[in-house]
Amino acid sequence: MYETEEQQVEALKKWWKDNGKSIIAGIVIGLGAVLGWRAWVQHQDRVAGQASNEFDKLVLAAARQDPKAVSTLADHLVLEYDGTPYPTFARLMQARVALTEKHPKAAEKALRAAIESAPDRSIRAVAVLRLARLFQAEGDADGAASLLSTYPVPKAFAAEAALVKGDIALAKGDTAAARRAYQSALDKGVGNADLVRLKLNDLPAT
Amino acid sequence: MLQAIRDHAQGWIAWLIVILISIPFALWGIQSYLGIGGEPLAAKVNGHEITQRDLDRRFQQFKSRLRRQLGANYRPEMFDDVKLKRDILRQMIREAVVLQASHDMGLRAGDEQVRQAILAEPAFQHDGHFDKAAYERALQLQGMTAPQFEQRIRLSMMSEQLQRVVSRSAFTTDRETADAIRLERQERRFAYVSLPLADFKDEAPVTDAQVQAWYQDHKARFAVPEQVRLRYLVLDDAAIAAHLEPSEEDLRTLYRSEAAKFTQEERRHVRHILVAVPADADAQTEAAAKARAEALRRRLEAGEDFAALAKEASDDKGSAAKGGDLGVIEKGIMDPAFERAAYALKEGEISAPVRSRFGYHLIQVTAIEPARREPFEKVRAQLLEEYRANAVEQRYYDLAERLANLTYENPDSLVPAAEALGLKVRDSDWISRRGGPAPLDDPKVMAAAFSDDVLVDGHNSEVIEIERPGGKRIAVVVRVADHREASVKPLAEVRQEVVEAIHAERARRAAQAQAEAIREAVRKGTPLAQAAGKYQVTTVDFVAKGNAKAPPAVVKTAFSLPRPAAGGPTLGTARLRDGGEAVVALEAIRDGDPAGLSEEDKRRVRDRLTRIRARTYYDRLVDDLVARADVEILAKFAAEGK
Repeated sequence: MYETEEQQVEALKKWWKDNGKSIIAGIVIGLGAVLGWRAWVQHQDRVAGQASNEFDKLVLAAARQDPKAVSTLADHLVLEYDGTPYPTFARLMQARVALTEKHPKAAEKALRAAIESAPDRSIRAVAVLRLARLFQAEGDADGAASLLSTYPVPKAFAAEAALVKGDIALAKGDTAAARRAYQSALDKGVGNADLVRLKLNDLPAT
Repeated sequence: MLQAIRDHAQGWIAWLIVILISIPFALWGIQSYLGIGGEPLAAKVNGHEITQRDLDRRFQQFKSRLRRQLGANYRPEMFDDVKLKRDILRQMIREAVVLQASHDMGLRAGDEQVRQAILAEPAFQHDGHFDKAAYERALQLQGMTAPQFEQRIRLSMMSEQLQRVVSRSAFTTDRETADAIRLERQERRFAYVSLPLADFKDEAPVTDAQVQAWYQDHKARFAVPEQVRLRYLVLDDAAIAAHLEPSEEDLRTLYRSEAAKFTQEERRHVRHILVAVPADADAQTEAAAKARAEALRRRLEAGEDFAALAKEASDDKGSAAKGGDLGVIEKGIMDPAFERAAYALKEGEISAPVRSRFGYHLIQVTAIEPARREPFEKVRAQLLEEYRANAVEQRYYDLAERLANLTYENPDSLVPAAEALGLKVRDSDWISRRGGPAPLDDPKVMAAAFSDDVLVDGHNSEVIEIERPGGKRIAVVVRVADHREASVKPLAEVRQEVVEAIHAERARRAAQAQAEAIREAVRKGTPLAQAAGKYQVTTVDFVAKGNAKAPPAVVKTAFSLPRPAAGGPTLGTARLRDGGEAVVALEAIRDGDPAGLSEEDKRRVRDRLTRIRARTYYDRLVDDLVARADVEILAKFAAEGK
């Protein structure tokens, strides 16, 4: 198509002049996107790693029942590490510590927040069941019941939920419903079967 | 060509190039996710692979741990390998799911946490400190690089953290603790009426038609399983030992090779006086010490008592107190120079000063026990035993192999093998697949006995090796001497049994009717004592479930009856061990009282409840994760045996 070598070289040079910039820009953008993505992921991991480390400190503080340190660390996690699961975890721990300190209201607040921010439905189910049991223990059977109907738990937790429902029904004086719920908890393999059997055998005759 | 590029180069070719270049970057390392390699897989969990090899390794580790823990109690047949493997795979799947879910939820392990975990690992420590060399050695041994290992730690920390979140945040409310105490420490008061079967005997004649009908309805009860009578050979230690009658020459050879064991070297009773010379002594001190030793020796020659002089002058304070006595020595114990001198002396003779590394000694031998060798005749029995113990092990393989050959070459008889090897042909009684007395209790033996080759074709089985408790091995060959199919015992043979069963059934029905009558009367308001009539009423005052002194079935019923209302007791029945009935009346319940417990006891109850709940919630959480995961089980669990 071209007469001589020079012409070919000329054409190449021209082509490069016309397109070189866009090719280089393309490569740079492509590389940048890939590397940028990797850097972003690495950054995320590093941030989550820091949060994890803070959370481990919180667990230690909870183990020595130091509510002040726990709440400082929990606040820090909630403020600085949104987007990681650690704020939720911190709230779960906070609820336990508050309850040991006989502050059921604070425990309730922490569990509510944990339900809202839970990173997975299984974690949410744990928080929901705990909050329902807390309501029930505080004499608020209706609150417990409505919580369980607002946040139905996955099937794997059905036995534990049935146990709580049995306790709720009993508190409301509905022996027949309590009997059904306890029996269903036993049938579905509740964790503390011995105790549930005692509960069942303790119900008054109907 | 170039023109073509030129024509299209305005925009999209440039982009195409960029995209092509990006692909390798984007997909870098993807093969490790896709698992290209073709190893056999046991399961796939959301695309993550569990290889058959990993499963097998975990399985072996588990079994060897069991073996270590159980020691001599370990029996391979105690465990159903297929089930065990299935359970282990299930566990591995759960672990994989937890790992992935932790990552997806955003759990991470920080660099600092990983560092701490590695520093704290006992395997990498030396004298209580982290040892980098030990760390590197351990990694090398496992064929891992440091980043790989760190990654592994990172991952395991993530799953542990998920578990920690759930379990450490678990709680038990005060109300739950109180409820548990109330129920677990509950006491119940109840009464019961026993209606023993003997009181309801009904020996009225039974008609043939009734017998026939009952027999037809209960045929399974008279079933006799398929049975065999086995003829078998056992090669065990005793059988092998009989082959081991070593010649006199064999024993003498063993005696010679073990000579050291039967020989007592010459021993000498010695005493000494030491003039100590420090290790860093100069020539002058050295000479002074030697002179002193020689002076002491002259005093002994002059007739002074050795023991008294040792007490006075020896620098070896330990022996000095005992008159220099060192007791009986053998070769190879003392300082070489000392020993040479001590063994060169005659009894009673006193040595010239002898230089050892401690200083100068004056040595006297007070008695010589000459070398002694146990005569062959005296140790012959011991030699024979030893010879057999050694040889049994070696001969086992040899004889087991000959047994295998002989029984294979004569598939229709055990006699040639028995004669050649001096074994006894044994016969069993009728036994079913469940086995008979040892060694016929071994599942491998019974599987062989009922195999087609042995049962149908009538051949000798292969040699079956059985490991007996204590690690002893025996070899067994069986053949079927007689066989009978599963059958039902004929009515003629069991007639009496049927009649007795019918009588017992009538009695049971009568007792049940009586029990029902008593219950009905009590329900209508008659007091139990009166309703019971001639049957005895036993009252059990408030008692905890574990402490009640009443038939177990009665206690079980009493503690599962509903709480009695104000109107009267709640009633139930229990089947007594002799087949009779008991009417149980639960009168009152007394709840456990939390106020009666110390804080310490309450805490213990609460901690137990929390522990159970923590484990349950975590297990259910993992169940939920597994339920949502895409799990594909690829391992084949061949049903081994029947």
